[in-house]
Amino acid sequence: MIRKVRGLILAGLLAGAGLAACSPAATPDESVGAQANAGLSPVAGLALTCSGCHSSMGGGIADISDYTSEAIMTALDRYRLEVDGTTVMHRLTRGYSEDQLQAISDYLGAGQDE
Amino acid sequence: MSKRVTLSRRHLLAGLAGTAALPVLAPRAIAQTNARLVVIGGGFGGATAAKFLKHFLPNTSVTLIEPNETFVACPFSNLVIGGQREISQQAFTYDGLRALGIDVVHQTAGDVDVDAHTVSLLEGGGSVAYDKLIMSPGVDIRWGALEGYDEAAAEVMPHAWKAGAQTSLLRQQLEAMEDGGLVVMSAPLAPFRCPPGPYERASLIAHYLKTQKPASKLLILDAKDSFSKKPLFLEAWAKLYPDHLEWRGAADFGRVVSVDAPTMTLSTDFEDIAASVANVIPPQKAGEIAERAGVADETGWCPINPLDFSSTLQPDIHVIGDATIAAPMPKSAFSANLQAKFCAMQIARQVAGLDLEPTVLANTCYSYISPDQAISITGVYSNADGQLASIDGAGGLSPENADDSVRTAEAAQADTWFRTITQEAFG
Repeated sequence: MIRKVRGLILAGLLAGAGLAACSPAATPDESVGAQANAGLSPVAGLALTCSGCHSSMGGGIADISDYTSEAIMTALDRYRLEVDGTTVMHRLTRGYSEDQLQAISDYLGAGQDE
Repeated sequence: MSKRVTLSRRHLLAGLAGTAALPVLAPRAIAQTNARLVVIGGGFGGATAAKFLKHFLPNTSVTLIEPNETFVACPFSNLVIGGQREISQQAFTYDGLRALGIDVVHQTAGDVDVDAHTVSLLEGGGSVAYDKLIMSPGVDIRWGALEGYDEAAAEVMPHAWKAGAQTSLLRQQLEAMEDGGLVVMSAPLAPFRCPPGPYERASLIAHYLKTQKPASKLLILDAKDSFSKKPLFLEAWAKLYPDHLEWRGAADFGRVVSVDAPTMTLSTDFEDIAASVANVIPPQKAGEIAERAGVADETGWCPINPLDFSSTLQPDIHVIGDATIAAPMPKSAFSANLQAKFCAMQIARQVAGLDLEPTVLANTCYSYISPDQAISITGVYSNADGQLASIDGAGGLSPENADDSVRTAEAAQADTWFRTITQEAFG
């Protein structure tokens, strides 16, 4: 929900900024609004890290593409709190606040939550 | 210089927020939706950057300048040297990038004219104009920095620190060596590409000797006393290769001061050692184009602002990957790939007139200690007063004295990581 509101705010900012009008070469199909996509949502930057390892390749690393936000957050929280864990995820999650992990979970799980 | 650039960027961003001042404060018109985005270097950093610029700004022109039609990946190339992989499995083309609409130009970038905002092309002549330039030049060897080690010597004593023919040469030399031979590796002082790389390679060479040429031995001559994942490598070597691998640090006169290729000799301050096969990993610097563009400083590496990986030395140029001064974030393919995604996102946000996101980055590097066991190091980094800094309490090494199951699980993760990151960069 928060994400959707942010998305609307973003769309509004982009439409209202009038940036395209400042570009002499701009044509309607090249408007900034048409270019901006979900990748530029807030917190996208935090989640960029994940796709370096997680994919549908299979093997030793989980494919999280069909995880809900809740499932991702449950897993991240478990890693963060498990003191004797041995994986890279145990060590990585300790670098993020609970809010940041929740934001990453919401972002990555957004497609599965609806 | 750095302050001036930062200040003008702040003005630029302020200008983007208010429409009236735009034409004055944005002479390069980065707000134009048809901004010309150019990337130099098609490795993990550059290929990923081109793809994500196109992803974030699909209607924008993205050009990638890369001389080679095939990229040969360094990660996992130690498995080629160890005999577990073929060099062909390390090769990737740029067809995937072309399919996304990226203009891939197979030429050598000659010079960057920072005033005119153009990159000259060596072979074809002409030039490419940019509004924003991302440079991902990788590393070059500092030829001559180690006495006796030049291009000709590298054909006899391969560095194999850029994957491809050098990797195959070292593998062929190991295969051709008679049992009972001495393999000598020379490891440099930091900074260099892939900090745990020499020690992963040493592990896999030692495995090859132990299983195929058991009367042979590997000696690592190191210019330093500490290195990445040292406790884990020492543990693995003691357990797996006690008779086939010896590491000698700087305190034990491990530093190689000169080499002589014709006699296959590596010299320390203490002795001259004749090798059957010599792998000299030499001192390095940012890829030479960085110097020509004026984005490398006196250290040979490229200072950046961790906010968006913009060069602190030149406007409208961003530098990512091994060439950067980004410590404690290491010179790894993972770092280059993530820096590329992050840098592309921040540029897209600037183009779209959005505030920049805070810098939170991470790294994970797996190293094989045998063909089916691996160890890892991780870190999480933020922007602390213009420098990347490790976040306290996060990151670190795989546990010491762990069960074999931990090591085999990390080997499986390493394999998935390689297939995933090469797909993300080149697929």
